[in-house]
Amino acid sequence: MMGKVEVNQKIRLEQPENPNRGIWKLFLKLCLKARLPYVWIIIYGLISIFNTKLYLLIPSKTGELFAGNVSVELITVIIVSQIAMSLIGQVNTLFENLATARIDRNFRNVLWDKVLKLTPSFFDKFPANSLISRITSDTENLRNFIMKVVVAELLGIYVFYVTLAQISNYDPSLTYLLLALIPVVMILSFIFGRLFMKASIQVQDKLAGLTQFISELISSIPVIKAFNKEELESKRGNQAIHQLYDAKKRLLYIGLFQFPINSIVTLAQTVTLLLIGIPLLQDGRLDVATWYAFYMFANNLLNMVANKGSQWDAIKTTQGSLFRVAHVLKSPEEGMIPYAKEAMESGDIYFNKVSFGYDDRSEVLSHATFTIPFQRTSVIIGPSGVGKTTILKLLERLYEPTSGGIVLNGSSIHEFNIRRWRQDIAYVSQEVPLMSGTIKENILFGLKHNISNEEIVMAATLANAHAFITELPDGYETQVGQFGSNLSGGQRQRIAIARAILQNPKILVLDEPTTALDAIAKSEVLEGLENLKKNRTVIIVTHDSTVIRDTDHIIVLNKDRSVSSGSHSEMLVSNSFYQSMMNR
Amino acid sequence: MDQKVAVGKTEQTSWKTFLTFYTKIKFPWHLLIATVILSFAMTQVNLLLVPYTAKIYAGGITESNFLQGLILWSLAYAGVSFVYQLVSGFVRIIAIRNTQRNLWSKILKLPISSYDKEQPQSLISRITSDTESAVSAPTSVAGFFASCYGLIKAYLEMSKIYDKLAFLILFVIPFAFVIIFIIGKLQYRMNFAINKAYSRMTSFFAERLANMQYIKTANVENEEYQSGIQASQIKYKADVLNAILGTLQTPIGLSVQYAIMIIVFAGGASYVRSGDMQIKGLVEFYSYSMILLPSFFEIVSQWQNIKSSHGGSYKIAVLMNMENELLKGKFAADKDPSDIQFDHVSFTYDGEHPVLSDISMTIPHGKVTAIVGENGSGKSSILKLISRFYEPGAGEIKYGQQRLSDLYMHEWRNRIGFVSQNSPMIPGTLRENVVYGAASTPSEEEFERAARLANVSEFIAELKEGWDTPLSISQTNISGGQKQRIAIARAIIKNPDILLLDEATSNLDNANQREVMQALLQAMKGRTIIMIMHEMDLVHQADHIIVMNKGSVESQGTYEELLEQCESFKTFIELQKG
Repeated sequence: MMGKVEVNQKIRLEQPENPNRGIWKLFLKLCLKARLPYVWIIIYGLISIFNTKLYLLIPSKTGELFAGNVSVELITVIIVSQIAMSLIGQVNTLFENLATARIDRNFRNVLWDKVLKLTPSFFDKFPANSLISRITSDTENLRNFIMKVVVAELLGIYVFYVTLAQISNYDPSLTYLLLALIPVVMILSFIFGRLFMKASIQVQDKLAGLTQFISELISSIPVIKAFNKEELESKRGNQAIHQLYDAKKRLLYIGLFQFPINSIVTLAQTVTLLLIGIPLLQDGRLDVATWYAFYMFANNLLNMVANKGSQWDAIKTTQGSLFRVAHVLKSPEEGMIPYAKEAMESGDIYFNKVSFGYDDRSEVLSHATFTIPFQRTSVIIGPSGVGKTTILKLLERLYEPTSGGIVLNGSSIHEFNIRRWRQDIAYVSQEVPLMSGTIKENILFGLKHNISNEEIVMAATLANAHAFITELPDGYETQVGQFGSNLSGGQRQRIAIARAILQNPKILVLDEPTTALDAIAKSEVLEGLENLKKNRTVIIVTHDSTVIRDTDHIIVLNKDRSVSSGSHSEMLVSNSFYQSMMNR
Repeated sequence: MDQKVAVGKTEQTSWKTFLTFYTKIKFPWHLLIATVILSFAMTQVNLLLVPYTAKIYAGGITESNFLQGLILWSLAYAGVSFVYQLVSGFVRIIAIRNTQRNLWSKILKLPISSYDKEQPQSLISRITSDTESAVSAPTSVAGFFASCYGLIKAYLEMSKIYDKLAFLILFVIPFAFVIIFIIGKLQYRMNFAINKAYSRMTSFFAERLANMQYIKTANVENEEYQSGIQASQIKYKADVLNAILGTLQTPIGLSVQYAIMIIVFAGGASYVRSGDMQIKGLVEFYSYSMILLPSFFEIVSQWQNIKSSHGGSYKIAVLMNMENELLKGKFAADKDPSDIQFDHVSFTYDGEHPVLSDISMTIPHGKVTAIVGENGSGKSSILKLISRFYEPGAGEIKYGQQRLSDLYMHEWRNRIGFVSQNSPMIPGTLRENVVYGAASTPSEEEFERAARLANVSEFIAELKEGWDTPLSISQTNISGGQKQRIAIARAIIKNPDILLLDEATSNLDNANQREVMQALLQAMKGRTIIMIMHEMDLVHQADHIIVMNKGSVESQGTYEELLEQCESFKTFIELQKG
């Protein structure tokens, strides 16, 4: 029944398709906006340069010691400079880490600022989990690029030059020989770096795939058990586990292949240096002390070069993270452009041939045309999936129609300041989200004016919530849990209604306000809602006929996507869906 | 918090559990033995290379046979390391694979009550990160002993060169252990603080990012920006603290290195000055000390590895020891359909708040039974108990004469079609979701029939990819009502004897609701149907109605009977009529 596990499918969506140069520009802009801690970085650089002087001193002095000079002065110099270099290095690491922490934080803040400005359609395409990693871990990769690649390379070039200069002091021909060795080392490390990295990305992919697979299935456990699919899912899980094993095996082999090559290269490096050194020592052109210094410096140099391969890897990792972060930075914002109009005006809202689809797969609304009369109560009904909730979301300006317009007093609603617009609408959605915090905090969520406790209690009573809140041990101070999970659906709904009451909006929008309520709670909430209908435009989406009593205006979304509207009596006569709904 | 205390108390027994973990997962022992041998071999060859290194430093490279010897032993080292990596690598990935397979099949066997207690996130980390750390212990043990061997041998060589100097170094060792112990504790606390800060920050963003529409409609972008800054600051402060502590701590750790260096250079030099030692000896001494220190740190890190592996494997062992769902039964259910009886059943999810209190009732076979009542009166729990997702705390549920707890779990669940309140979907296409219900691949007719009865076909026709439309990641591309109909089709295709409906049509509009229920009741005529719903006119269709009130059965009977006798029922009906 179920096909072979294709765990990579969903991950692929994330991989960037078109490489483009624009992202490095964006990176630069990000760095400027994030106000990098230039002072820390400069201090770090200066201390590194100073420490390099000590670094140059040590091998030659140690060489002298090994050649036979055991004077107290020399020993003291060696010991003191070793310890000094080490301690200064520690202090330097402090500055490096402080700079790192600050870059991390500033990058996160810039990204968070941008995320809050993104249009809602962005969030439909990406699960919250992938977005979190953009803010928390992709930013770290970018920071690594700055500190470990850019800054480190600049310093590395300085150290390289200085080391080479020192070596040439001993014997110029040594320099040339070394320079010949360098490209060889570089190419080899580069080649193996790439191979290793490709295999390691594969392992990461499979691991992420396995994790995703398991987390999806774990949330479906009741279904698995109810339908006795434990065997099947066990097999599918094993498939995913085996795929991960295979990827790791490949990585192991490549690592293995790389290792002997590496050792042989290192050995060749050492032997070459020895072959250079032996004749020079025999000639007397080099003495033992200078030989030791040369050997240490040359080794350091070649190791620096060999590490370039891993720098390339770091750059590749950065590129991946940069794509994801740049994607966020590039995505369209809402609410940032200047609007023609500020406050919401009074008047009917007119939907004029509005078409809309969440993605290009299907169209939810097609040329829908109807009016929402000012300060009246309208009800939107229709078969499920026909677009009722979508109308509310368009009104709330979470999305924009693909064609047609929504008009208020002759102007498109999109000309109004979006923040003010939303402030004047209270939107009680079907699946009521709450944020972790107390009940009281959630009732007050987003309200900008001061509200007394009496007003809170009054609103809660009207929403039929006060009774159950006071029955809880902590009352209004009860923690609702993440996403409000400590409360039932009906309780959350009533808290949301209490909040809407306190918001005192010009437009009140309710999406299926009574589905999670039993008969008694429902009647009490409806009673409370009656009080809210005065001097306000109220829009209710429902399929519950009891809610439809006492509404002024009925809007029916028919199956064929046409819209019919009118009063109760008009609809009862003309619209078959309405008739079947009201008939018992 | 109780968990932490419990973990501490069982530390000793947990070492035993730790060891038995390896027997349970088919650990590749033969490979491990090879790893041990190779670790020692590697250490030995490394020691043999030291004199060559010393000669390089002292400029003795012009000696004959030097180059050949160096190349020979270096190649030997490379060869042994190569095989070591191969073997130890396989030990690791085989052990991980076997553990993951075991865990996965275990997780599927756990009863649903275990899932309520564990966060899904922690179950996932058992399979991913905890496994990785758990299997690393045996290899670390091999490395630990090999490093001890290297340490001792290096010391012995140093003693040969100059025993007085070597003796001095001996004093450094216990000093070193103390330091490393202190640093270890510090490190642990720092890591803990960093992890805590990181997860606080991450859960802040996780909650906000999942709720962006709410944030926008509530117009709180500015406030949430400030909250985000604060959350980010938490991590920043932890990072800074870590950096400062690290800077204080590292020199302390390095002091061991400094001490050894001073002993080797200052001490060695003075002995050379007094003629007790040759300079060649000093260089060799120095070269051996360069092995000493890394071996020492290796030992410590292997030990830390073993300890953290212990943590991971303990958590896994706890999971493996959890009780499975009682899949075994004594009997198959009776072939003849029977009544379901609740006999003084009490039930609670968490042991504190009673959900059902001493209820006794009969659900007649082959009839339609409706359960009504206020939210929270225990209706859904009844269905979950019948599906045996949970066990009653007291009392018995019987199927005819047989006790439910005696029956084979799979066979019982095969008889039940359960449409739960929130119609959970599984990842895949819409077709796959419907077909999931069938025990074996259904025929096209069965498929069409189920789709038709649940009124699914009509909205499928409107989707571009029709039945092959995959559910989007956030599952928002089909509406709540559409999901409900898919869930109903899924239950129908199973062709169950007993159909359980928990507000299965609540998201459908009246016309749809009526159509689907009529079709269902018609198609399932003669089977046992138990439905929970709020729509009173549909309740009218039931043969038998049970009224629940705060966890007890207030009344049961026919529609007319209840209208006369039961107050709550009357109220429900009246409210519905408006």
